[in-house]
Amino acid sequence: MIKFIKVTKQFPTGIIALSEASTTIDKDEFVFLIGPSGAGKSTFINLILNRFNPTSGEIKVDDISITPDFKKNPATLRKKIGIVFQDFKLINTKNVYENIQLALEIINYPKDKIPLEIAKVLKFVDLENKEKLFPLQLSAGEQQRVAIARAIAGGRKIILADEPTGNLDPKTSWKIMKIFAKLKGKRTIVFATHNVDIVNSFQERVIRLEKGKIVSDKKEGSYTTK
Amino acid sequence: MKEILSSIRRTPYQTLTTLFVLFFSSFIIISLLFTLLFFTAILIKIETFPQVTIYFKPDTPPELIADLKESITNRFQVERITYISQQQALEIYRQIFQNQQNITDVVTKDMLPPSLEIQAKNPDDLYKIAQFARDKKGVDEVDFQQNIVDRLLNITRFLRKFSLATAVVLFITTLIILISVISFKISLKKEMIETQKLIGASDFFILKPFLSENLFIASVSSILSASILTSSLFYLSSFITNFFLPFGELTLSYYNIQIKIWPLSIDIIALIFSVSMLFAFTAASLATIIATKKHYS
Repeated sequence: MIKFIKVTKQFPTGIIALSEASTTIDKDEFVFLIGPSGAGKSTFINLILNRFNPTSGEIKVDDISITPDFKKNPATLRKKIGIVFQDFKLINTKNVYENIQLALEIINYPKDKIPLEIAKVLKFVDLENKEKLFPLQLSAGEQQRVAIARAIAGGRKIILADEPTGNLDPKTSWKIMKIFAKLKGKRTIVFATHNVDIVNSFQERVIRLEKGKIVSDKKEGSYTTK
Repeated sequence: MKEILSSIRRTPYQTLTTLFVLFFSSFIIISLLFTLLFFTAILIKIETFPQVTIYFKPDTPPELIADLKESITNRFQVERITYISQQQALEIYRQIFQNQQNITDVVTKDMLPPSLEIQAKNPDDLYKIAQFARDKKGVDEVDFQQNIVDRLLNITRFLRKFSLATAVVLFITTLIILISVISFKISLKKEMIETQKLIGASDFFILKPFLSENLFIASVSSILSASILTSSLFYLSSFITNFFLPFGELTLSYYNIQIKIWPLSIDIIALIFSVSMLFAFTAASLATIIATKKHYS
């Protein structure tokens, strides 16, 4: 589903954010991406999203190959991906329903099936009856649940989560993780986090990054952050 | 529609700027277009009037006039050549001065000269016909309207160039103002657009709401400008008709399509609305595409 082949990303400032990274993430696999700040977790996620091209190497996402000279519109690639950000990135002028509707319209989801799909994903994140509320009328945890609903709506195959619990208190973080637990085995999930407790409780594959390099790639282990 | 109206409500001043700019530009352009068409139609009409008139001495025998008529017809390309006898001249005179009986009463047919009214196929022949007739026996005076035609031709040419230059300048100015206004609107929605792009929105998906909104404003402004122009023309119609009375009905034909310019007809009204909409729609779409491309592609 996602394959990194000797991927290096060097920014114009000279900083090497990712160096010769090679890994494969299978379909419906759940992978944690851990490491200290500046280790290259966000660069790893942004490369999958094609916010920028790699400096060298190749990234394969589903059937799309991203190389340094990749020039296609990233919209085609991003339609396959649902993304959950630390700062939620919900549109404050649209209500919960409209935020999810927008994501469905972007992937050309059949119009007549949109209400049903929205009801389904809102039920999945336990936010039924909140569809008419605007993001600023919701708690942080609820906003992140709307962001998850938006990411999974329409059956996007890959879910990228960039520190989704970073702005939440521990109790709310666990509620969010329960939702991700329900998605295990159903979607390919790449979850970047600092939270060791979350990583250890899930007992899933963990890719550890340090100074832009993959330093370990293990299944079901106990980890500590440096 | 709901989204368009809500966006207009959120940025009323930018909407008004777009509306006024499109309204004034399209109003000026359609007004110039109408004036140009009107004068072109008058020019064409004038070209159908007799262009050379040969006046004979009152006692000139009709046979001599007939001989000259025949030699002009043989020598030059003539569209029409008409003999006006002294009696016919008197009737025309009486018709022109029908409200001034004191003048018509004293004029008799012997006081008026017989004449030949000639309409040339080629305006370049006018001078040659005049020169040819001037020395002929019985000819008193030759009058030809080359100057009037030339003057009107110059006016129409100038009007055409002026209208084109004005249209280009107006279009560029409108485009620049609209790009600035739309860019401002885009910057207000910058975060929303960035999020949309991250979740897979194509360039067209982002462009679409801006385009719909500006096309809506363009349709309102163009309908408004065309309505105001046609209403003004209807209001002034009796004045214009009286002022240009000798020309009667004015028409133009392009590639077998006849457009009745005056009195106002459905043809010219449809043309005014179409040009107004075409201008506003082109300016609005082009400005939206340039503004969005500049910011987010």
